Amino acid sequence: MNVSIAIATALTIIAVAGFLFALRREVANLDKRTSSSAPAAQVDELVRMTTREELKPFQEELARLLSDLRAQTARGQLPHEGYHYNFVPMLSAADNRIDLFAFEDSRPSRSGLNPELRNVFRRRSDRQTLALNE
Amino acid sequence: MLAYVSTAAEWLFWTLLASLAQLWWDLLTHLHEGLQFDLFRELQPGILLFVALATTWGVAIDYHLDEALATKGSFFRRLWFFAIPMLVMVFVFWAYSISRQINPSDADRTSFITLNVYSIGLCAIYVLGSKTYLLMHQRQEKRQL
Repeated sequence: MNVSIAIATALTIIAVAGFLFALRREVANLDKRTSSSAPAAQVDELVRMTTREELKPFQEELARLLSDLRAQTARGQLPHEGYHYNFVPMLSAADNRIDLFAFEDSRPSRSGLNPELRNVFRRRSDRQTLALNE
Repeated sequence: MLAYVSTAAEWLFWTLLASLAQLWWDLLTHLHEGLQFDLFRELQPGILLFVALATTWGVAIDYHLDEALATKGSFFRRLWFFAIPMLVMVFVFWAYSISRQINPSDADRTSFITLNVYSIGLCAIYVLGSKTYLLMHQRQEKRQL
């Protein structure tokens, strides 16, 4: 075996091993995104946040989104499957709090959210666990 | 898991079919003219090298330009999806430079054949792995629409 073949063989083995490792991780992530949790658990996931006032103008839209989400889930569809989640806030008059529901990804073409509302989500995405009156 | 296997089998089938279509005329020529088989001479025109390079880079572009995939995964992980196409390109250029020699030595002939085998092998592994992954990802997206 000459030197060039030895170099090519070593490079090939390293590349294939690295690629298979990377592919395994990618596929594992794909599986994780597909079966992250049950739909009902995602829809019912409630997180309180402090931005009640700024979300009030969007109450109708939020109600519609929540209704769509519930309908899709009832049909066995996962609108957020395979994506990073955002959370859709829903004003709840009954217990005076804002609930956040897991919803689909942040791509504008898919989610159909009001841009202003989207900005609110983005600003608050790191505050999902804050209590209402903090 | 079954979905991955069936998707991989689907792509393997199409790969074999495409390979057969490309090699068919060459095989017929040999059968018709009764030529003695010489692997170096068969590979020397570089048709398989070209196919390996084009196919690998086609899939690599599919992967790296995918809007959803391009933003996911670590840089290190995506780098491996870039390493194999680069390596195939190096092997193809290397092999082609050997094939252009007027009187290649036996060692050069062996190197050329080895580089061909490695390029085609890398191409097959890359296309099968990446395309199966891409197809699964696209199916997942379609289910959401």
